[in-house]
Amino acid sequence: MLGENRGIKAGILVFILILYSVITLLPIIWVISLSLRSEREVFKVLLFPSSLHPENYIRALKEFRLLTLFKNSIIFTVGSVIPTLFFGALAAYAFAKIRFPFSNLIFFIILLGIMIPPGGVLVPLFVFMRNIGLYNSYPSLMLPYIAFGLPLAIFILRAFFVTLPTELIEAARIDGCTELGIFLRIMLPISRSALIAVAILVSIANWNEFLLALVFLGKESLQTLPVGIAAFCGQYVAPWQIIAAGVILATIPAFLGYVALQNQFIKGMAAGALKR
Amino acid sequence: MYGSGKLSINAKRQATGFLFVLPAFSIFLIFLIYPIGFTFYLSFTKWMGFKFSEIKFVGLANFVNLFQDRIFWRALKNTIIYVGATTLFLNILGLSFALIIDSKVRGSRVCKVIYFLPVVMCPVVIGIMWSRLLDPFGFVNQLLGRVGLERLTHPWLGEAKYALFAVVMATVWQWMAYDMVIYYAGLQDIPVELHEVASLDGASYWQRLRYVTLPLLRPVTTMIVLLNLIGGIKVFDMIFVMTGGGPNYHSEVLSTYLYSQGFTYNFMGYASAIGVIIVLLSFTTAYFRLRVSYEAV
Amino acid sequence: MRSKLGWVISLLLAAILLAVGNLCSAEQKVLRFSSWNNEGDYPAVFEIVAQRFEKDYPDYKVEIVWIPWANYNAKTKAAIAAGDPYEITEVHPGAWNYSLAKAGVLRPLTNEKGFPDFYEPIVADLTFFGEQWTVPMDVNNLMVAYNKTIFDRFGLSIPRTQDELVDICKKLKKDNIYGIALGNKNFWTGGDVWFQMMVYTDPTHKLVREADNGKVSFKKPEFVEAAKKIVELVNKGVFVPGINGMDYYTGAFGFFSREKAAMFYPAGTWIVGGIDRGLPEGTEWEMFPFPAISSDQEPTATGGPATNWAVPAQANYQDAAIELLRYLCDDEAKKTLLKYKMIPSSPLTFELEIKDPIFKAMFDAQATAQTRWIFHTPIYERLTHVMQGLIDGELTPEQFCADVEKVSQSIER
Repeated sequence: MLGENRGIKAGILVFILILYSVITLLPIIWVISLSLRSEREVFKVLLFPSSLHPENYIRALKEFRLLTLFKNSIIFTVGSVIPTLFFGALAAYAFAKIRFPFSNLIFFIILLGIMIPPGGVLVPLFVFMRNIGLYNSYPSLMLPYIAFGLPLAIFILRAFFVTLPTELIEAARIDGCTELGIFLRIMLPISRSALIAVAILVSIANWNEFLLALVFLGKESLQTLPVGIAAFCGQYVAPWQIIAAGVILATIPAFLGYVALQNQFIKGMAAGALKR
Repeated sequence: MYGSGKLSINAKRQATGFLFVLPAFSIFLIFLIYPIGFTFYLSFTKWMGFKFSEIKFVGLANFVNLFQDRIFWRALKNTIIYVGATTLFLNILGLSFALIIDSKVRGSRVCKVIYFLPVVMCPVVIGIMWSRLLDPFGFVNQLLGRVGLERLTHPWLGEAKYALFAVVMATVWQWMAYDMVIYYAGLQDIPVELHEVASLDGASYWQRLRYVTLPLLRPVTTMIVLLNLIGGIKVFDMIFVMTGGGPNYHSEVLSTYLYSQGFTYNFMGYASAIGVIIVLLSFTTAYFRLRVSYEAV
Repeated sequence: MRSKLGWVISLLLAAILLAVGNLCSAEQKVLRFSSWNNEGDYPAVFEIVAQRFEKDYPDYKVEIVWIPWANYNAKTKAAIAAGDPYEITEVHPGAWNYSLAKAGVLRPLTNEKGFPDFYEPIVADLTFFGEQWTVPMDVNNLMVAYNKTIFDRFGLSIPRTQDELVDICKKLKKDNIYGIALGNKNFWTGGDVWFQMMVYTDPTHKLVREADNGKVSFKKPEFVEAAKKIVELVNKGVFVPGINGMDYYTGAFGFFSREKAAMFYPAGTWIVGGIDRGLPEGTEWEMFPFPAISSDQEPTATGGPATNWAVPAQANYQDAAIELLRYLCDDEAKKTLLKYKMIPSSPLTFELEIKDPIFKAMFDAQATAQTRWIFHTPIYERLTHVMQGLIDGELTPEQFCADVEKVSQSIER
């Protein structure tokens, strides 16, 4: 930690921080500016439109059916993150603390899952889902999300569980606790921060996922945010000011969620999810 | 008696181990391994992607054609450049800002939150946003003109030299805070005592950085670099939206090439072969990355 | 305990959702109508047709499904592969149409009765392997939109040859106004410039299709000449600089609507409303066909089907779907199209005076419009991609043609 020379050094650092804040925020401010313009001014003005049109937001809410999109994104994200966490933690605990044959091999195979490009498995996966009757319903996207999220979850959680003292577990075993009991009553509560950290990582990935959500869901009533917003970009033209409003509306909750959970996230990553 | 009891406990434990892994592994097997296996199989076939009855086995023909395809080599080159550049910038910037924020100068806490805003936005949205910003007469060039830097204006996404660079910058803009927050978390983990001892010993800030902080951050670095590398190899949304692989394939990467071959050209077999290459590339990258870090420790 | 409960709840939730999802069955028969044309007045037109159909056939419901253009192929292809295609699928004319027909996943519509006689050249663009696979609703031709107010200010008249065009652009440049705004980031506009140039270098208008079918080489002098002419125009400053990085709408069109460029290409029915709304109040604008190479050629536009509809071979309710297609093309529909300034795909069987000069220009150009399609996707993709290289000077015209020819020879026909 810096202790010395807080004067000049600190000043330079603050300047850097401000500079990067501007770089980060300027495009976003531009989007906000875009969202408040009239259609005529969409291309003309740099940053300050001549008149403000907050009704673009109302239009975005209605035309994008933003509430429906939100509802779906939340359902898909939460609905896939919870099973990912649970089954991932279960498997991670087994890999970390229980010695059983082939555990390394199975772990390795699961790790390979991180490397699979969604575009490459799109058609086979989609046809398969259709054949087992899971098209156009909530599970049709949740299950692939769980499958794609498990490798990362297991990778991180296993690293975390490895750092936990085995004595605790041994003591519980001697006390006659079943493995499942150990897992539910001891492991899960301790790993709260790590679980939250993994939850955030997986949520970010699923919330923003586009390709699978586009192809796997046919009904408009099931669309997620990225798909719903992209659908507004026509072949030639697009109502950019409305899209901008929709984008701002879509980003606010995710951002607030992060603000609320960021400390947990950092604690969780630090608590040992980052140890090897 | 004691011996057989221990044996059965062990066996029971192993069975439990399997059972714990089973749900995750099953979902994984069904929804990931099976499709990727099918993709591997498809890479040896010729198929338009419509009717399953028309899948034709052609052996290694796809791979032979792939290696003679100049666009494939360009996409591979672009992928490697993209992955290398983004990982480099993301890690350098991420670590630097993590250190700055860790030093708790004024504004650190606010910036920690602000910088994360792009991370929670969809890559598709960010791609669209940056496309608009980088229009030849869009925001960036207008801004440059207003501050008198007209000669620096370029058709960013239309000029071969700059297209890939522009996509790299957009990616770094979005994900910098992701790396930063993880590095920051890693920094919290380093016991303050170590720093205090080192500075009592007379070490300067940079010496502490080099001999205390960085070595202790190694597991973090390994993980983040790995995630960045593999994420970069898979990237699709942003590039597709910003440049579509242009101009003249100068920003085409493996994923966008896969998509266009499979879904625009209807060469599903060929596209699957590209998918196989992506997986192999990720695998090799991961292997060497982990090998490097294992050996260094 | 909390986690156990959570586990139970999430499993229950999953089970319920699974059950509910699979219980979905419609009492009404749904005809899903997929399209990417969610801009301009198309949604209104589709709605009107759908409502007319539903009124006459109350046990059917028409559901319009919008899919973004960039992902349209992926989504419909996945639907077809999974055996559940959209009952009426919009198909992009040209290569996508060709490949779907070749794969045998469309139902041939050649012998279906009750359809008007579509324009001959249009049908030619939609017929492969002896059958017609789609039905066009409206047609389009591509012309140069120009800002008449600016032209009048400079005392300019419509150019009929490319030399005249270059002159006009020089005069405009003196006042810092650019010539033609063209957005080539999306590839297809460059392709259209090529098709347009071929109209003039190949007076027979047959070479494009023959090269497409592999009968002649893309290295023939007419093709090289077209490429050379394009490079000439670029180098003589006809186009706005940086067209490879500008996209069609926010880039090029934005430029035109901000009056930084006096012309805009390609403009078709889809953009007419946008131009009306985008240009400043009181600005006049009209269209002219892209100028010819020599003065003894008549300026001719390119054109073809605008929206184009197919019934997949494995779709449900095919007879109803074909009936809906009839509703898209009948006289009532034509009146709707004309009301929204779209050009129907078959000659009018009723008298109608077209007053709007812009619309009249487009309508008249329809008679001589030439093709703008390549049927083999790899050729079209390669052509449009290396066109960007041709424009920014990375490739010579000869290299450009050779590259396209190489792809043409490598594909199986």
